[in-house]
Amino acid sequence: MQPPMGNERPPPPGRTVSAFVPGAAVPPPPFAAGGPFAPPPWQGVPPPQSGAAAPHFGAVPPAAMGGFRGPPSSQGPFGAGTPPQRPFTSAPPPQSPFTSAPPSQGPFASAPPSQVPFASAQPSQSPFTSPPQSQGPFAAGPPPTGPFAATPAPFRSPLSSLAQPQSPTQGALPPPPTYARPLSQPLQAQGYYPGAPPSNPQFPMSRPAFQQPVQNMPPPPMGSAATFGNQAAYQSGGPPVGGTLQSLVEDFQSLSLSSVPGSLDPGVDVKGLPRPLDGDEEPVKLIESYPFNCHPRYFRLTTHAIPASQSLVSRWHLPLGAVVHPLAESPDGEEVPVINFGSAGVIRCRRCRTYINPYATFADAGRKWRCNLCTLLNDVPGEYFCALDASGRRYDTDQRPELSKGTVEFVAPTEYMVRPPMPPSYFFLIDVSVSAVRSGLLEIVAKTIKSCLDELPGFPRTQIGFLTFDSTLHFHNFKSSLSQPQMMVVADLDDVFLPLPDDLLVNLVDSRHVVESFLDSLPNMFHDNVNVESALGPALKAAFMVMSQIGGKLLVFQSTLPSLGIGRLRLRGDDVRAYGTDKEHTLRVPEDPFYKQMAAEFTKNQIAVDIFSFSEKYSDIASLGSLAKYTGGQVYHYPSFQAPTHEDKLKLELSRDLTRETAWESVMRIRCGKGVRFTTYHGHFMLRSTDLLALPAVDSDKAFAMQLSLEETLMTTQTVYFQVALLYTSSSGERRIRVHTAAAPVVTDLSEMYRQADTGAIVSLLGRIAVENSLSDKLDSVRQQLQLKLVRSLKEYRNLYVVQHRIGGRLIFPESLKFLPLYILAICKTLALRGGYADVSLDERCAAGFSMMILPVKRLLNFIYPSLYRVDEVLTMEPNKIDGWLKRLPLTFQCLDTGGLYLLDDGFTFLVWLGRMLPPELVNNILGVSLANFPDLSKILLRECDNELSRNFMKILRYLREKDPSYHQLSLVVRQGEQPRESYLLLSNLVEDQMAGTSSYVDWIQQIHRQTQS
Amino acid sequence: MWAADPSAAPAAAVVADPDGPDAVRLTWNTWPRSKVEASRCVVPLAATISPGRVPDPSAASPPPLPYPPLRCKAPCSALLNPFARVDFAAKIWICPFCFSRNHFPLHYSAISESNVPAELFPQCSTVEYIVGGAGVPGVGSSPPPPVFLFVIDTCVIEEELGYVKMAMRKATALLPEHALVGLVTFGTQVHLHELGFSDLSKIYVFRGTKEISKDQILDQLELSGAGRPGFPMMPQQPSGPQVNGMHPSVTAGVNRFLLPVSECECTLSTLLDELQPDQWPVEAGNRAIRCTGVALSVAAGLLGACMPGTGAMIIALLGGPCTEGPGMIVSKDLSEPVRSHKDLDKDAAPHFQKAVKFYDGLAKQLVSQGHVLDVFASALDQVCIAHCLVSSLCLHLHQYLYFFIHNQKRKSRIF
Repeated sequence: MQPPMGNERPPPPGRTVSAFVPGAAVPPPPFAAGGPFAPPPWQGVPPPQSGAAAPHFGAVPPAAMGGFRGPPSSQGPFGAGTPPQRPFTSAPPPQSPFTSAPPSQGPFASAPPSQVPFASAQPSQSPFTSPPQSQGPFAAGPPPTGPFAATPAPFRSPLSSLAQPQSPTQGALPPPPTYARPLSQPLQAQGYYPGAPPSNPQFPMSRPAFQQPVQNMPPPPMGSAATFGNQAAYQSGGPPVGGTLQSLVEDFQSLSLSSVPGSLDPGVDVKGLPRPLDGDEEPVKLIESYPFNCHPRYFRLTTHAIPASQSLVSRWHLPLGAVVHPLAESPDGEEVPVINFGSAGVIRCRRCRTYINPYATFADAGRKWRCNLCTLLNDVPGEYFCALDASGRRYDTDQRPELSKGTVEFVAPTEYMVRPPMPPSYFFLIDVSVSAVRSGLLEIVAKTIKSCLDELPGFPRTQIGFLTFDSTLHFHNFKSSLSQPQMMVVADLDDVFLPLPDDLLVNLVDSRHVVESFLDSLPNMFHDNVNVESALGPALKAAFMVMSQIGGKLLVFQSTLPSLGIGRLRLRGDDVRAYGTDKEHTLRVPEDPFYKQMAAEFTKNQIAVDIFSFSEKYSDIASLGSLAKYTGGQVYHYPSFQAPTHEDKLKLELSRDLTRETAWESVMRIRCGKGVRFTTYHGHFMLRSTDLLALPAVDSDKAFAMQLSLEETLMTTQTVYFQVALLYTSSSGERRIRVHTAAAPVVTDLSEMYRQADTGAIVSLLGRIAVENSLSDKLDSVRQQLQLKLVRSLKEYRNLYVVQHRIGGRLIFPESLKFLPLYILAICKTLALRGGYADVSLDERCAAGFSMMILPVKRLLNFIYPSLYRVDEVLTMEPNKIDGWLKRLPLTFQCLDTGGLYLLDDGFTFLVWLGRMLPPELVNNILGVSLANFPDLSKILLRECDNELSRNFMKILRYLREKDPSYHQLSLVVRQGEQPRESYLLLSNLVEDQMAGTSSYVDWIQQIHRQTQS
Repeated sequence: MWAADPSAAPAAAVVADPDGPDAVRLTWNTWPRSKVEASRCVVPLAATISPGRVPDPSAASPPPLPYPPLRCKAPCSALLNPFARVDFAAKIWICPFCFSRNHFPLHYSAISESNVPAELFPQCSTVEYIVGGAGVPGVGSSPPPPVFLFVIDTCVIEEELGYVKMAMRKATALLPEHALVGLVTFGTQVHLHELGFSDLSKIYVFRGTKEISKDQILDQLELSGAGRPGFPMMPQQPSGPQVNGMHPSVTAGVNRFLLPVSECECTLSTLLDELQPDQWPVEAGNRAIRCTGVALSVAAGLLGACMPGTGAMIIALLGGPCTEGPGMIVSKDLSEPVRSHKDLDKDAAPHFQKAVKFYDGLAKQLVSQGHVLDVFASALDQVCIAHCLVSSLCLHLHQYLYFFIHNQKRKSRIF
């Protein structure tokens, strides 16, 4: 195997060879440079020298200068990663300096993220004003730059070659100057090498670098963080000179917590605690390391480092897995390329069926290609053949997206169809019982659907149909020759049948006038209906009979708890006695097996179900939601629906549901390279076999999570490849395959896994798992399990460093996971898992749970840790600068000024909080009413009034809504002190504050800290 | 007979009416004296009676009597008639059927040899009584309107359905404006049209394969007296004079499914315009799927709920045999011929017994409700004179309705 492997590697080694040539010449000089450098700092033995060299190298990043070296240096390790193969074989001595390079990657990688805590920049000004202490590390700075100056030298060529791709990525003005400095560094180093005094040129260099941060906001926070860390280190290990030097190389983050239990002084700087105020950050940096990977918007691993052994997996206590968002909307200019292989057929590995992708390699002069997942050598079809260049790369690689891009879409030939592609099909099941009539639901639904008829995808093939129900089923005949529809009532609920063989689901173009006539008269049709019953079960059976020939999307509008026929449900949401007992979870699972059985039937016939629930009473979302859960659908919940209040939200969410990009009759599979496989999947789908997800419909707003496991005790490969394949029918009637491909390195070092961790993906997976656990366990147990995972993870991390470093009373964590504790606290406090019976109604809890199962990462993070903005100060600013001035605030009551106007946004709801001392005229202008009249704020409608403040305010709302159009926030207004609405709507969302039975962020951190030390 | 031309009238006047003024015609005009003589008559001793025949205008029959008839004591209950012997002095009359002695009631106290009521006149062998209302002459409440529930078979070819629509339009044009009309169409399934739903066409659908009881029909139409769980209990309507002679509980049903011609003429016209042959596919080599039994059950059930004890009729226009559900007489498979007399004789018709049982039950129900079922059948199955029959159907429907309406103008009779 090795010889062929060697042959297969020509392309990458080829480049490395060209880079390696200077490297081969350089190794001796850095070692020689180390020689003269060693005597002054240490008088100890040579082994400590090599160990000390790496720490010194790592010490530089914590300094302000490190920020400037971060971006370019992150490429260095990548370039160095490949050479070790050959050097290891041919040059054992050079191995020593190369092994020191990977560890230094961490600090460099952390440099850019350190810019995130911009919100804490102001607090950090205080430590910033203590330059004397910060000069300490700088005094030590010059010596470590020695090896750094030497190390980059051999990689100057790869650095320069990577400069081009890097600069476009940066884009911003500040980064280019930052990048320019490293170029001068090597030059200086070379100057130093001839024998120039080491300290003199370094010291002046560091001073200008230090002054640069003064002008740029981002660098100071990192500096302050370093200072903070160094202060702690200094205090705990000051006396021994050796200890001080060792502490300078800590590559983790830490918080100083009081180690004295029961101390009155919390010992924690509350304002300094990490907060994700910039929201989710997609790990786009990975694209720089793996340019052929698909964009993180489609595929994110919980850690972009696959453990090499089972023992390593057992030490990683966070989930190992991925979040997949197969149809994520791409920005303009980044559309997914569509490829039609034509007569060549889809190029796939004949053994593991992986689709050809950029990581596949070609051999035998282009006549064969090797699968990157299973390494099988496949034949290249004649129609697909292309010659290879000297490096083994096809000449047409750049012209073939499937060979140069991580995300592509193939047009599928007929063998990928089991039947002609289905037309988009929408069937509406509408409750017309008295509660639906009186709430104004029918009018809004009819109007919204009518307004979307022109935008339903799939023209002119789109199919549409309606069925209304109360105690009977009302089918509607939309035969195109009719001037208006016929209502056909089937009252036999025990033996449902179709009143017509056709025309219940019709082509929209042909029957447009009949459908419009129906929508126009729907509200009036049932205006006098006083029927209080709901035969939803029989109606679902009827809908199934109508749709089963074609499939499509079934939208259920439900207003009354199903009370007649099969699938009737009983009131069970009020059973408070169940909470806290072993039977608690039964309230959150379907009561009647009918709904799960129905869901299975729907999925089998390519029918996805979306549930729109409107009741003011208990609706048993737990039961109804399972229809959406197993068919790839969605649950929308509008508790106590009233037309004036909820109209906009329902209108926009229904419109979005009907018009967003949708994939029909889909199946999705995620393939992995050797040694790993996905074992569990979390989301809305039906699992058809061990690894095939059946999705009657999937759209651009749905994400799925899954967990990985190792199949082998020891991984034998250096890289693991993943490929997501979604086979679907497009709305235009084309059968397609969307393919996302990604690669991740296999690592033997646990710290590397921590370094590459993706908090967003981890939280998404943890959230889904927690929701699922709540279906079989008590909420309290679920929360405890979350906390336990966090503690074990941080404890394991602590163990990595406790031996070499004096951690003392500090809580340490990797830069990549600094928000994890807060996010886990937020998950415990989110609607789905919060408190107990009295805290969240059962329906709302279940609806939130169903939402968490499908939300993409960014939306999920904002749902559990909502965005809080102060608005009144922004209203008077220039309108075109609003987005620049909206700053997220920590979720704690202390951030609320009694004279301020605040907006809380979790993606589903806008909550406007009016401070008690807010100027009355401001309230008048925005709300259109005076608080002096004690209006019922629960009925306030936020509309644009005729004044500047109101216009700016509505502009802010529009801006926030447009950032994510997949949901529409319901606007609510609450006044400071207005109970119980304030507690329920606002205080319960202040994640960092202590509430009955829950911890504040500070308490939580201290709790976690104590447990990690135990 | 109404087509008789004026030239025939004089001839009729000249020739004595063989049925006589009482519309009773006997095979023998004398009664045999003994059993032996009766047994010797080869022609059986019998009579034909036409109780509803319109009297000859030339006959000297008295006008309808505006009071209830006087009856003999139970169990005879025969009415006072010219053949009764009367003792004017003792105010007693002897029944000629049972020879019981009956006393005249007080309101007959004025009777005497010179003051005899009309029903005792020797020449008044046939009389009519008006018994509606409180019994006060000329002050009776108006009778309930006539009800026509049409049951139309849609398992026919487009052309035939066109003729049916034409006939229906003519028929409804003949109906008095206050007559109540309902519409049931059927094929594979039964469609009961809710004519009172004005927003759009609304139809209640019943499965053709399933036998359905009267109570189930009422339940599904939400016409049960017990009330439907789907509707909150309506406040009890104040007890008062019955509207239009009907109970309040059935008014809702009447307003939904049976409407006066004047109110539903437009709706009916639109419905007929849009009426289509049955849409359910028929396999090759098969007869149409026709659920006549369920259709008639639904019609009978509806009338039973809305018009109990009131004159109403179901007019069924059938285009072929029942092949589905209860009342099925032949299977759908064309390879099985419709039964013949020979089959019936040899008890070789597989569906006959069940069908008879079903239709008997239906008949009993209709009888108990006091409703009439008229069937216009045009079975083209294995017959090829389609056009002739279709035209005949139209003509007959037309004449029949004319006759009935004309007859309806007279007061209802007990006999």
